[in-house]
Amino acid sequence: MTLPIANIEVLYPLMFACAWGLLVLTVEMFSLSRRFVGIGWLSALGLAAVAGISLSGQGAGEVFAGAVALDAFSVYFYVLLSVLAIFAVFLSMDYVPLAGIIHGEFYPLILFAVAGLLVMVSATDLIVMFLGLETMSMAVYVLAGIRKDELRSNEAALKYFLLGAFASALLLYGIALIYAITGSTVLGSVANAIASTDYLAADSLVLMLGVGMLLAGFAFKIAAVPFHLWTPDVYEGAPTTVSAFMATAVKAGAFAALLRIVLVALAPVMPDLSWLMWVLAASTMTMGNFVALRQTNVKRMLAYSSIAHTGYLLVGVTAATAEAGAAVLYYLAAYGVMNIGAFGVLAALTRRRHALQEISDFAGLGQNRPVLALVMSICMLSLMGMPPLAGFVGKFYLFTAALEAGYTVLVVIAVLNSVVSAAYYLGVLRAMYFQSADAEEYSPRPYLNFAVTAAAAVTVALGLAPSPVMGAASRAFSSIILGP
Amino acid sequence: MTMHTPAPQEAALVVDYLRYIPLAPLVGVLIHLILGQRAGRAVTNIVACSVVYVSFMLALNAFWSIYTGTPGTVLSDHVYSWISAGEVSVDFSLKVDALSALMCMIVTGVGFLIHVYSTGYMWHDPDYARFFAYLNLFTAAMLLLVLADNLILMFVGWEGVGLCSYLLIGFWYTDMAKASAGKKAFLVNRIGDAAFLIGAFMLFWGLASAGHPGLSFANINANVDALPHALVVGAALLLFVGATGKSAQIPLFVWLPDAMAGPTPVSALIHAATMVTAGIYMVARLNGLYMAAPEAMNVVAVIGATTALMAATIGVAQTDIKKVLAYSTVSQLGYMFLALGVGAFGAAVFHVMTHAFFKALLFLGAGSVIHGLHEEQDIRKMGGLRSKMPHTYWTFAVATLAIAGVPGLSGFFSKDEILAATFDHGNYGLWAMGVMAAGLTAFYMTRLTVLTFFGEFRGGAQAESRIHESPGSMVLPLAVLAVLAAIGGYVGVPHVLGGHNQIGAFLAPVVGHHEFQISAATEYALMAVSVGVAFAGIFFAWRLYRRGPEGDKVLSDWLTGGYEGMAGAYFLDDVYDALVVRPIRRTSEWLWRVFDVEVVDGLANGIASAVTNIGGVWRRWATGNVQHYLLTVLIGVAALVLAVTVRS
Amino acid sequence: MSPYLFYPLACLTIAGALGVVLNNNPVRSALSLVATLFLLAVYYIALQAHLVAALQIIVYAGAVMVLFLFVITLLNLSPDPADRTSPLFGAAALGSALLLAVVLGRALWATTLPGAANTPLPEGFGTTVVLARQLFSEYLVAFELTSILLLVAVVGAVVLAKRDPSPADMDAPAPGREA
Repeated sequence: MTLPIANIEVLYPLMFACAWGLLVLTVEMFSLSRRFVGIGWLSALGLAAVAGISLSGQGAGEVFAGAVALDAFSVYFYVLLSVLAIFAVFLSMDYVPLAGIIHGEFYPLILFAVAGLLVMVSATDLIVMFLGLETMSMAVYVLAGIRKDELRSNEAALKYFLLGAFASALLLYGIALIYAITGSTVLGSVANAIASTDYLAADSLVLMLGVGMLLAGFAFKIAAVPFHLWTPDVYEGAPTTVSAFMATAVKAGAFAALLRIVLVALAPVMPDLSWLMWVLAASTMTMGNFVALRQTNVKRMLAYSSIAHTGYLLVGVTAATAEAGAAVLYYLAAYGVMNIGAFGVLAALTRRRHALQEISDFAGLGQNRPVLALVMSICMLSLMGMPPLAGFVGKFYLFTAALEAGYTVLVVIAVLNSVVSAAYYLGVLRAMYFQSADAEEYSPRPYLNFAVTAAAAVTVALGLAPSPVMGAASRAFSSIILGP
Repeated sequence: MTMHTPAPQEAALVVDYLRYIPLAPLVGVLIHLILGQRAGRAVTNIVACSVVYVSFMLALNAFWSIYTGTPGTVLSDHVYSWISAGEVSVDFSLKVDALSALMCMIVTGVGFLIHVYSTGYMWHDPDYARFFAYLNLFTAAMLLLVLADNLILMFVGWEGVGLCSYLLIGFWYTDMAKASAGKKAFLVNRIGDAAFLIGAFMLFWGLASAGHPGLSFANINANVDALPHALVVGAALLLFVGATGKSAQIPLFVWLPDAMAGPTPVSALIHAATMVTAGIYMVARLNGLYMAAPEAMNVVAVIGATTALMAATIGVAQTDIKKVLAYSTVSQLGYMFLALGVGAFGAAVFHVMTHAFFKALLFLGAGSVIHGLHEEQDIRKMGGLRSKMPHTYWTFAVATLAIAGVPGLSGFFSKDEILAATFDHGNYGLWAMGVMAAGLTAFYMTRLTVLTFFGEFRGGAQAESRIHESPGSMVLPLAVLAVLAAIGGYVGVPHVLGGHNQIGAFLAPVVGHHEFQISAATEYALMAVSVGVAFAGIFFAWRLYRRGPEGDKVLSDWLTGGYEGMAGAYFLDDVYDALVVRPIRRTSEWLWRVFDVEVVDGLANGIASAVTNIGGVWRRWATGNVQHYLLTVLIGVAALVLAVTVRS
Repeated sequence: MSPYLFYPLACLTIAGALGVVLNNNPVRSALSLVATLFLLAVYYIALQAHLVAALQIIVYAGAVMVLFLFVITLLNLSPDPADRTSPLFGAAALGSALLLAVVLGRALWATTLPGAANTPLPEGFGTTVVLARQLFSEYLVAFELTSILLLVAVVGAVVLAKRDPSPADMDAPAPGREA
């Protein structure tokens, strides 16, 4: 019997990521150094190769009756996720020894998490998407708890695992219910089946139940209210570079999968659910920003800020137009690099096994570590939406798209929210520049410094020259929209 | 009624040097950032001043092209296409017309003088490199604001100047109150900025759906008629809210007096001469939009007149030299908005210019006094400085007479044109408010000068012995500004006085021409009234304060409770605190308590008992908390599922 | 599947599941889980999915549960004392669970599933050959992904379970203040 493999090249980036993960896992066993810098380099190399392979394989179509597609959308996210993961790896190359992480499996786990994310963003079948999500989650659960001697790290892992398992169950149940009604798990077929039935009729309630469950599961992964509670605890407890990875790459992957589901499979029902997305967006950003005001711990503050940004991104999902979708894609990139920078500075302030996390720990940074302070300022200002940085341009795209789609009130809420957010981002600036503290001795941290500086530079560049990325985002998004 | 002739079509001239006007100070910022204190004081000072001088020369070049070119000449410099969304693109392109040429001259010219002054003022400050980095960054942002040819690029400068203002107000952060003054300024400005942004988005969307996509000023002004009237009024009002934030008008003026915590050159440059006029500049730039929204224009005029009067009354009762000047700035900005509101855009810009001269001079003079008195700012402890700081005294006196509206000096011409325009507009109530404010201005400025420079020194013998005149780098800018404050008004001598109002003619291609309908006799009468009021103000203040600050007591006895309100700025800070700040804080507190406090409690306990009782903590984390979280998730799922099925 | 078989089985399965949650004794909990998993296998048989049923019994009810019991007995876990939860918490939990149940029940009651009509099963349904063909053609990606998932789980388990080397084995600490 021959296997009906057409278009196998669609799978090359994925296969490469998994194979490279195995390779790194094997090499790591023979690693002599316990700092694992070489392993980090090897991982970064592999991730760069993933980005390269996916770029060269663009437009290869689908494989296996629509399990995975390498369309422009997938390629956009393959590249974005690889870049974010490379940043996380570079941050980790100094952070891992500093934080006392002694497990070389750290890097292979990041690679496997990336492999899971790649599956998630390119899957065109709900089951495959689910498996990707689980692969990613499994790796991240372990990464969050990899500092076994650290109570908070353990808590983060356990909490994330228990709640994540619950969310996975919801997702799976939702997929099962949708399959029960539509007879398929392939996104396109699901959409066709829904379009051809009167889904609002009473006997299609099960379909809507499935949709609800699916949305709840994803709301958990993207940390939307009221499924966000795990976020601050987990970001705080997890190793800082893992938090950076979670806040950026994992969130981008979850949003990509959500976009595929909401705008492809569920496209026929979404007009009736836009009010629900509206409520989710408004409550998520308001909740995130208001609670962030109260935080004195920078990691928790960044966690709530990431919740708030989920809210902004949901504005784009609510609008659901081509412009809004492209804006979400751009924003994920912008948000990713600026958060890598912010978490990276936190990681850079790690003393031996002790991450500095309180806002007061930033006192005097402007005097003592001017470059780090400048990086942090750029990231904070960008998160705040200060022009001409990437965060402002992203908000500009998102909010104008939402306005064009007619969501004026939601945009007003979002703009007012960004005013409130200024107050807590400013707190960090104020500590860095308006408070003084004695200079600390730091060990040299070349990779960390390089990565955060690069992240800040990209934040500025994405703001000053958004067109290339935005163009790619538009092409990517239009590649998944069905219809004429 | 006023005749307003709209601006004619413009003839664009493509040049490529405009980009270097904001870029030069930005290069200065980079040099300061990279070299820091290593460069040494002299190099830092030279770099800081020379980059602004380069901008000044380029601006002068641009100004000269406009001045000598045919009326309506516009220089434009398209750098690149910045944000493109669909068929709409926001370009990074700069434009100089008569209005921005004039503003550019003010920003770079006055800015350069203040940079020179700062080299003297900051001579003893150890952190001078950081100071000049911020000051150069401010100049770059302000120039971008002025040169931008679209609303979004203007917003970049708009936010940039706000950020620099924040950094400079808190510059001397050893005092906590100063750091929070910076925060207050930033957040109040952000409220205005949010309104600005919403207004800009509305225009963006409206113009795109009307088939004229783009946010360039030319496009907005030309295509207002294609937009629904409600949208025009709404956008104009929202943008004006943004202007009230930046230009310190009711209801968002509360940050400016606190902003005086920054170094005095900063108060002169940012909080008097340039940044605070951004709102006036923006409205003048969008004159087409505002002319199409008479409702919004009325709001602008009323807010302006009210602010002018109210801030003047507050200024009467202040005892901090910089606070008096701060409220005076708020009041003068109110005048400018009054002018905008009655459609006299040229008069408003004229007053921006003269105000930049005499207010920068007043602040720098105050800085010289503070410098000479070793950081004393209370005017009740000054007096008699006339003989000890003669240069400062003479220049300060010129500025006082100019702002008071003494005929012949710059303030007289610009203020008079505003009052005449208001009267001409037919709004006699607003005119009366303007005249009262003019009298009060003369009064409090005379009070300030008399208490500072006349009589006997009241700060004690020890302080008296240490008083010194400021160094040459500080006095020279004072002298230059004094000349400008004295004669700067002659570019706008009205026709009834035999002048040609060149500035009005110069600006007409951009902001339209404004011709009075009132008779020459009426104009003479109005002039007589405002001059009379000004002299009355000077006279009463001289009478009251000649012998020292006891005049305050006379005034407070006479005004009874009102005086307390004036001294306390009508307690608006407390009102805002109760109405805005505390509710937000309480909401945040409540949300935090409901959704987060469990965790924080656990955290505190967790750290304390981590070493001794891992098992106990572990259990707490593993059960109690996660159960709570799961419950929330369960409620969320139930609600979500109910929501998606409820419609069926 | 005959309703006379389904409903009694369903009641039993639910009882088993409740037993897992409500038992304070971990061993009893685990045994209830075994019973539930067995009962699920019965459905698979009734639905002609023989291979799945066999796998369910061998893997879940067999291997996994044996491991569970081993761990429980090795750790010598004592019955968990009942948690003190506030009545409000209980009420909220019960309320939202009931709400969810009502919504689910209403939806399922009102719906006739498209597959529920007595369509004839395809040739060889449920046999190993057909299943294998499907698994290695149409669902190959999912199948291979599962292996990656399991690999990650194994790596994770090893990382979390293996004994850490003592700090002395590690590189010299980076200079900096101790926590």
